Amino acid sequence: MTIQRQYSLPNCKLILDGWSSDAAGSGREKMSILTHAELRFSDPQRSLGGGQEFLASVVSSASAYAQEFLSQVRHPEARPETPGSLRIDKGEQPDVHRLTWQPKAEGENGAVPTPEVAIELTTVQLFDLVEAIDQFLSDPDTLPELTAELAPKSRRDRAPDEPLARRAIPATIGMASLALASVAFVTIPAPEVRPPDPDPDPDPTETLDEGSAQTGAIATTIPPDIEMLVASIPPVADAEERDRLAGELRSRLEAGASTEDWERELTYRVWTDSEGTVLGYREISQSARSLAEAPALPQLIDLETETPPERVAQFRVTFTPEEEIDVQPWE
Amino acid sequence: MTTESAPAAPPESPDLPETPYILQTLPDYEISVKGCSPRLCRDLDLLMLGMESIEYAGGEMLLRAVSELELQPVLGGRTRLWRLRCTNPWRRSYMRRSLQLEEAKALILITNHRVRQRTAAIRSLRLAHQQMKAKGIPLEQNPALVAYFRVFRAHFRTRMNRRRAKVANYLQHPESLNALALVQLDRLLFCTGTAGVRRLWSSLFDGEIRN
Repeated sequence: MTIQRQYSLPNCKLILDGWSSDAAGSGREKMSILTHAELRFSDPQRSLGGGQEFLASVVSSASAYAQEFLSQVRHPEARPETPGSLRIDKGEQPDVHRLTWQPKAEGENGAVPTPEVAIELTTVQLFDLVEAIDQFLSDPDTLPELTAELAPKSRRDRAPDEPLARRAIPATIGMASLALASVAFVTIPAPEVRPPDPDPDPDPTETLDEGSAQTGAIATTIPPDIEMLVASIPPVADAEERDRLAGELRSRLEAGASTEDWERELTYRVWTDSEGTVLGYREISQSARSLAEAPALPQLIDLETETPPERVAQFRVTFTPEEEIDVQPWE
Repeated sequence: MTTESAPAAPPESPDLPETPYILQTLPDYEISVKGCSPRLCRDLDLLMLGMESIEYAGGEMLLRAVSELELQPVLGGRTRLWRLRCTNPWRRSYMRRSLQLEEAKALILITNHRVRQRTAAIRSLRLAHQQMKAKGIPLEQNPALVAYFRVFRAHFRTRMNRRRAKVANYLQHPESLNALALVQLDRLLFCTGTAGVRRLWSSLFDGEIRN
């Protein structure tokens, strides 16, 4: 006995035709076999249809795109590469979502390929599409084996951080206010300069601050001679390798910084070897923190390396006020 | 006549506070032992801010939802609820702590509770915005829309820390703050759906799961 199920929303209707493989029983029949699925949009009137593969593609792409829309983290399942799949992508305008579908050619011998279907959906229409699908998925009597798992994307899948130009805006605001503050500070008398007091019995396990006391000046890098050390060492050339090291460094910084916070943006230039071990760093931003007070970095730095590294990588590490850490290869 | 003694309490049942059953309707995702990320706390607070801006006395309605859903064991009362929302790093009274998974679930569930009561209003607002923009009609002609954006901007201004660069940017550019309000309206629209709260819950963790 044939069954038709409809899931109707104002802008979108999902119509499923199929039949039950069970013997007729009491209550609502279970549709376990699909013969045809149709997706009907009302404004403008457009219709797409197909079999099990088509329906599975609609469910998978629409579900993935909905998640992508909600979090702005990419869900590539919304745009599968396989032919005959339905794809949904962001449109040019904010409130536009592009649905495209290239139906698979039915015959093989010289069959005229069906033209690609492209539909532009507003956000409300997108919602109606997703809701029609979710109503179908929650219907226990219709194709119960077709499901859509909601699995959040991992850290690896997070989009790269904002381009530098946009991130520079808070830094320039910071710089402007620093300039204003500097003007105000001119009126305050300069503090008395006293020569530093070198420790007569240096502890064998040196702290970073003692290192700066011995040079008799405020170190601008840790260790003070890192730039001289790395000057003669070739850089990590491969861009992919640098990106991988950047990702690893970021993970380790996030783990190390988890108990800290920073009220304003902090930026550091960080040198690592090809394994990702931190060799040294300097502060680029102008904060009142000493180098030993940098977030996470002091715990990661390895000053005990005996042999000089074969290759060196450099990164721009930014700790943003939203507790985010951005790591980019140093340009 | 035999005297029956009370059965001894089984040794494996300690005296734990009962976890409201409703929290089990949302899956647990793997997060750090410290709790949810600051980004998640922020996104959740902004979503709630959106819901507050939809209806009159929105904040009170959310508080009422705590008792309607019997979530006092997790969310407490007015003060505790406010403190939990202040895990948003953009807040002036930012609490340097994170939401625990249970707390985040409870917050999104009270929001969802209000969403269910105002489904028609949410859809109508979003549809009105889309249609007016498409036809070039100034939004000022729709009082409900004007109210939504105005209330959102006002709450944002009083609650958020203007010393944070991103907050300052929003306060200096009202159009960008309206755009942020529209993002929340979109998320609330999706929350009205059959799988709405589960979709939103999962989306909060996008890019947060450690692998």
